[in-house]
Amino acid sequence: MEFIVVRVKNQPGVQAGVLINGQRNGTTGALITLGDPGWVFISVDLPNCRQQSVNVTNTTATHPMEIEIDCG
Amino acid sequence: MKRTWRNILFVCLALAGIALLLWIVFHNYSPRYNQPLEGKGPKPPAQPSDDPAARGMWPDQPEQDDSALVMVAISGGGTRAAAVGWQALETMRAIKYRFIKTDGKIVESNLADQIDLVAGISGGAFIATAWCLGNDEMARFRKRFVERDIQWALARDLLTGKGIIAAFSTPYARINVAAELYDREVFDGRTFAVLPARPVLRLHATNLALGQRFTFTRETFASLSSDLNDYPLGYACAASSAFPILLDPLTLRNYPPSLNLADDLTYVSDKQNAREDLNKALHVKTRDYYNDKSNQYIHLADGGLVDNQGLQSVLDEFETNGLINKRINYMVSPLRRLIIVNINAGVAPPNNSGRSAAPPGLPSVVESTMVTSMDVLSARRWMDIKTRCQQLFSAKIDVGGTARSYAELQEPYRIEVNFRNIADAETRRKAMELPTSFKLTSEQLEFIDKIVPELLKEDPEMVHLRAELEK
Repeated sequence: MEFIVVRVKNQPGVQAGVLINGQRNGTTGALITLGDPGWVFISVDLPNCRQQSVNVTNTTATHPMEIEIDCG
Repeated sequence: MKRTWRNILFVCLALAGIALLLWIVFHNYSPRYNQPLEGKGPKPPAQPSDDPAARGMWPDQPEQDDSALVMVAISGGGTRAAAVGWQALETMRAIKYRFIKTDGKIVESNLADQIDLVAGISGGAFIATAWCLGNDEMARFRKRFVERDIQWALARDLLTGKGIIAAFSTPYARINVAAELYDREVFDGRTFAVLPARPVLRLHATNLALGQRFTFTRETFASLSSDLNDYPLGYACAASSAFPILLDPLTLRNYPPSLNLADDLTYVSDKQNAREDLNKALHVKTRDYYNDKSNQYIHLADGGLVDNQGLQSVLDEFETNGLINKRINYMVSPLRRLIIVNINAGVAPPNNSGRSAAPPGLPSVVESTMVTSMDVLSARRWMDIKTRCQQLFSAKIDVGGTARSYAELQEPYRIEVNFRNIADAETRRKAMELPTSFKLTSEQLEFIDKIVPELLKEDPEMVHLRAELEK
């Protein structure tokens, strides 16, 4: 199990759905649980957000990977 | 004497002539195949923000306990598996409890009505399907399948009518006779189109070309450019229970056009991870195989050849974007109870081959290679589920109440119905010697009806769950 927290770059308080491999799964700013370690495509369900390919590994619930998505 | 030989020769020639005639007429006789998506076109990807089922929620079902996720896997084992599954589900229905919805409404319910996903293999596929067809179906299914001598009906059909065609046709095989029997006499010709969104049904067969699971889902059929909605439930159950040698594999068509897999982020992500992750590598291999449209036919055999308990289906839901994973991340109604029920009708008759110098015969070798070894693999999957549940609860212990998604999560419940857990040695021996067939006597059914509720209710984690539900 891996863990991430996704935020919108320069707008840390924005609440929106997070897209993992194009599917809605979790919310910005909240702890998101993933399956096995490895590469995933992460974006935010807001206009103009750029998708990032991220290798999520060696995380724990208390030390999740912090990811910023550029929606500028 | 000479005349007798002449008569025998005449009869042989006449029979050969009839056989040749039947072959000429029927050798190209085709079975009912899955239909192409022709005219309908492949569905556009679901909009990520407007699909509640993709978040593991079914908000259109007002009586749903939003705080629970209940998943059931029913093993193979012919009518024995269907009977054990039937009784286990009825026992779950008798476990009443009440829950309070987020709007404050109190709902009187039971454990069975809260099942979100049912996976079925082989004999378990039939009862899993019947369960998803609704409460009214269970009594009908009991008469039509569990209490019926399906073997006799199958033998009757194989020796007459379509069975004769199956003997002479290349594409129309004995399994098609079985599929038509189940379609006609067990499921009334109903197709996947009639299934509700919840519970999710996962029927499994084995893709013989890949040695991999084949799951009857809309996504799998979309890979074949085919429409699952038109496909009969009885045919899927036939594929799931097509035990090698006894029945032929069931064949599906794989239609063009190929999909542009580069647009599918899950596929691209799996491809990136394939080198380090065997499961991802197998997903990629499977998608590539279906997308190669020179593979015009997909041949399916008994799902038990790769997973005889349907537990891989539950393990998949722990993966990224799986039902458990999404449900944990869905914060509007945090998950409180994850309940996984493993209904295992597996038996282990005594193997005495070690008492003789003579090598085991073919039946014993088939039993050891196709059934016993698979039971060991399934037991390992059950242990893997335990590990996954522990990891999930460890995360809860780590973050405590600081992460809303874990705030209410109880330690996941892993409940098992397994003859191995019968305490009384004589009863256990009797259970372990129940036959694997499509026919059980009324005494054998009575025995199953007696032991299954006890096994389910006495499971330590079920005892714990019931205590929680009564609070």
